[in-house]
Amino acid sequence: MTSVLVIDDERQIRRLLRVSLEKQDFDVHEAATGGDGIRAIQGRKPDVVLLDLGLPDMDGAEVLAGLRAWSAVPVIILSVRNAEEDIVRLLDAGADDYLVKPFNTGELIARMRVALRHHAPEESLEAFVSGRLEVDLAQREVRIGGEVLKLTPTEYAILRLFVQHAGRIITHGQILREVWGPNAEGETNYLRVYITGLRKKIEARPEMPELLITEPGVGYRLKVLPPHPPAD
Amino acid sequence: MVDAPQKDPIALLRLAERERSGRGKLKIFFGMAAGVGKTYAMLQDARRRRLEGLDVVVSWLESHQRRETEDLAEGMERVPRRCLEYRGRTLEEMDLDAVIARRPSLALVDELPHTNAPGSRNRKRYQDVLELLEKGIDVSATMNVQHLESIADNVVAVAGITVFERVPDSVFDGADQVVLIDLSPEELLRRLADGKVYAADMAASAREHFFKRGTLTALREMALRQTALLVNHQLTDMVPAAEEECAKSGNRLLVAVSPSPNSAHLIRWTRQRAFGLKAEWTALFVETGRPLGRGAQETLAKNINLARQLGGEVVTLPSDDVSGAVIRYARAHAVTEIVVGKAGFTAGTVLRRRTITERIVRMSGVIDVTVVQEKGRELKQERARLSSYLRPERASLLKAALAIGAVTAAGFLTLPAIGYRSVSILYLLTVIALAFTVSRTAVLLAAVLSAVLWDLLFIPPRFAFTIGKLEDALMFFLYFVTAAAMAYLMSRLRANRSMLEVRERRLSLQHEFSQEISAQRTPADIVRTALRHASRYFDADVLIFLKAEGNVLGPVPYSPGAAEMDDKELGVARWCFESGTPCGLYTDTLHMARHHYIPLLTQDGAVGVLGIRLPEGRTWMSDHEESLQMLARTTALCLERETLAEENRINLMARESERLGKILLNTVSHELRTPLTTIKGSVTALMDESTGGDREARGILLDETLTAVDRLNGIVENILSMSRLESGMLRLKKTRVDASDLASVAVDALRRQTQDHPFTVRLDGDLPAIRLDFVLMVQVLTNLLQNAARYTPAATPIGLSVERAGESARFTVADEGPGVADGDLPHLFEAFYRGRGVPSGGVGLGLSICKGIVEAHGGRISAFRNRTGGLSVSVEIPLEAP
Repeated sequence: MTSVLVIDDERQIRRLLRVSLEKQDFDVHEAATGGDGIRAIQGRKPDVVLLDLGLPDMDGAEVLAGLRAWSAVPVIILSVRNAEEDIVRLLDAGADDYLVKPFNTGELIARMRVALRHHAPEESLEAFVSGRLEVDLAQREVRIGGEVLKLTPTEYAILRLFVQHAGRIITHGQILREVWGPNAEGETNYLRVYITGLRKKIEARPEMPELLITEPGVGYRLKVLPPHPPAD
Repeated sequence: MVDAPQKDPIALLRLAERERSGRGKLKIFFGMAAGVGKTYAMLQDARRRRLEGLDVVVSWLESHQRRETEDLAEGMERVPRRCLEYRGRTLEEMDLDAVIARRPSLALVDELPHTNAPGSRNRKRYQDVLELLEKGIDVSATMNVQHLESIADNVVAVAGITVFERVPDSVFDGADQVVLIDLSPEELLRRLADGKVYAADMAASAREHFFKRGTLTALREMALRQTALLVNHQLTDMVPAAEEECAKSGNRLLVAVSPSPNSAHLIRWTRQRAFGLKAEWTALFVETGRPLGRGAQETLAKNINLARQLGGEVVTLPSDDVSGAVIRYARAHAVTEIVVGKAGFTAGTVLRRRTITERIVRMSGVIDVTVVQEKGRELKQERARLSSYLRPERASLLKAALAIGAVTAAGFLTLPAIGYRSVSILYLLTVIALAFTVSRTAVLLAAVLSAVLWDLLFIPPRFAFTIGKLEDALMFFLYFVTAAAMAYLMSRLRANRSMLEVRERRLSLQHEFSQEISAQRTPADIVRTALRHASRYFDADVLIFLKAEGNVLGPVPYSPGAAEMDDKELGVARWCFESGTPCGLYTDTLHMARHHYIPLLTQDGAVGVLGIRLPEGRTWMSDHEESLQMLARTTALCLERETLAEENRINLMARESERLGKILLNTVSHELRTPLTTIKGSVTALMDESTGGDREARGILLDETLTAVDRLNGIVENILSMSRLESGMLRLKKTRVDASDLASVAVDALRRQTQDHPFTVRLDGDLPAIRLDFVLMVQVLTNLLQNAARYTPAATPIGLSVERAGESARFTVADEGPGVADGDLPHLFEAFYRGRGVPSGGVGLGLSICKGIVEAHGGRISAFRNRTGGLSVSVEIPLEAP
């Protein structure tokens, strides 16, 4: 059974999460402060951590920095709205994903599963499928609705990054660093242009994307949709 | 024009006595001459009171090295003298500020009529004493009878000495106690011989000039009389109020003021008489429009000041008929007695000199006329002054004479052609022409001269004064009458007109000024307008200080040119501001300053100070002061009005804030309760076994709960955004964003809410990326879409379109619902505005937040009724934002 540690100072939220997560066959542990949380990670070694940013004793960033020094456990941040800068900072500092309060519990669990999947050592290189999109990383082949798609090397690099992080949030900075190198950080314009181009190629309606979703102020997320039957 | 009486110390001092306003009491030790023992008596009195426990301090003592005086003063606390440097000499004066700071109960001030050295704040010591009294310090002072302003003339007559150091009668009359130190002349002379009055060498010269028995006797009599008058006055003052009215006589005196030094004597005389009768008195100046030489101007100003100082009401009337004006005024104001000089009132020409008094007497009717002898010596001076009168006349006379001469020559030339009779026409025309340009005297001279010359040179028999024919004689007579009448009337007309023109110009300038300054809206503009007018009107350097923070005068004045300002000048201006009285140049207080300062006074005190300095060679006249006062009053009023308006605005804003705050509280609590009610209701219903078990019911209730939660969240977000906008904490993080991206995110976020409505999105293909704050703009779009979903019936379409509009990108959310009433459209973006008949569910903040965010981007938001009758809201964001 997968274990999850909930670090949040609000009793109601911990209770709510316990009930929901246990119903989904998670083993739930709780901590009310940052300090307790870190100790709990050391002691109980959970498989995934839900970290609330509004903790009384420590800044969320401190907790993350603290535990990232010796643990790679997937961490999902819970924050309030209009804290995009903090979210980006934390994502860049090693958090895996985030969710804004008040959150949709279903969405939370979905993201937890994505995070867990990406953490699992078995990185299967089989084809990735989401909706009409098929990506075969081994073959370097991309198909839309069965038809092969021509992508530029950069576009492919971006797409591959997305596939590797499928379902998870990737910050602008991360994409730029990974695709263009560490000096490219901040060139969000570049990125935007490429994303638009990608969307035109892979989305059924590029102006209403279903696969490549913008998360304003934070970054992008490639959604994992159920496979679409090829013949529309 | 009526001049309000100057802050008359009489009234103030009397008031203090009756109302115990905390003003100090003045005790004057009064005597006929030096050496009678006034200072001695003052010191004795002070010592006695000191023993009784009173805090007594010697502010100024002039012992004249008299042993007894110095002995008496021993042991008493003295305020050190103030040393002043003036022209290389060190002068000593009373240190007024030190005495004020010391705040004794009683201050001894010797020699009340003394003139202070330049550099002192006040010109005269009696002004210092008035200040002390105002600060609540009692004063004992000494003075002689010869120092009384109104007695000055008598003293000159009796002792042959002109006294320059004078004290206004108002100070004397207003004293709380006057102690007469009386001594027989014989006794005083004996003292002088004994060396008890002056040291030996001075005693000799004193005996020569002043200390003659006859002089002393006369002075003693004057002192006694003055004291008696005062006692009489004070006696009636003690009569209770109701009877006091009867005690006051119904008399009213009028004296005419002229530029002659004789006027001063008449003024003083009138004052004494009025005082004796307990009557009001007025000094009237009739402005004839005749130009005055510089000396005459100064004398006139001095006379008017004197009248004011002595407590009379000063009135100026324009008229070219002096005696007529005097009588008219007297009748209109129930004057009971007119005071005139025997020699007549010399404001007119030489011809009229003797007639004005006679005319006044003749026209006086029931009004008494008192004719007062003028001083012989002054008469001589007066004749000398006449020449200063005639100076502007001389040019006119010359011109007239030359003109007549020229016409005479012309007459000779044309005589054969036109005949001797017609020459008169030439003369007449010349006289008429002259009437337009020369003074009245000159034109009358021309009329007479022309008649004479005509008779002499042209009417037969020629070169003789006789006239041959009767008809010629009649013609001559007719000519003479016509010419004289014409000349007189025309010149009078001209004088009237020019006087009226001057007045009209002055009035229209004032009117213009009033209008212009009333239209100004900021203090700076008001001040600048005032400065502009003042500079123009007075043709002088003007500057204005305004009140600054902490109720102090700001250090830098407004001024059209660069005003020379140093700490001393600033100090003078500050003093004017604090005391609320005029000071500086042209006054008796701080007269060494470079400018004349008057305060800009309002009900609550001074709001500023106006300073003026006339260029060299011009005298400060009383009507300058009046005009300046008017200017200052108007400016002060406008400034006050602006201050009040500003306060009003602030109050209004505060009230508005309060109102909004209340509305917020009410609305929010109401609007928050609604979704909360749904949540609680649904959840508690679900807790019930049967409801919770029913799949369909559960589905509906849970759906409702989720909707309510989203709504709550929306309200909270809106409130947060509103407060961020209001507090200015909204910071835009601008990045380049694709319109489609923006639209898709917004639409996605509202998927649930818009699911009941067919939704279309239209995007202009070639729209470039827009620089905007992604998160905030998403909020704008979601607000708009939410509104569309909430306020339109289910199944009505909602459309979002993004297109290019010139230099901006335009986002439009359009619905096909009931739309918004035209009356509500302009108010849509106001905070908390809810249209009439609108279903509840929002706080009314959404659109105002959108507006705030859009405008922070430099864009525009607008709402209008669209083709289908529904509402369209349009947001334009500039593409190339700065």
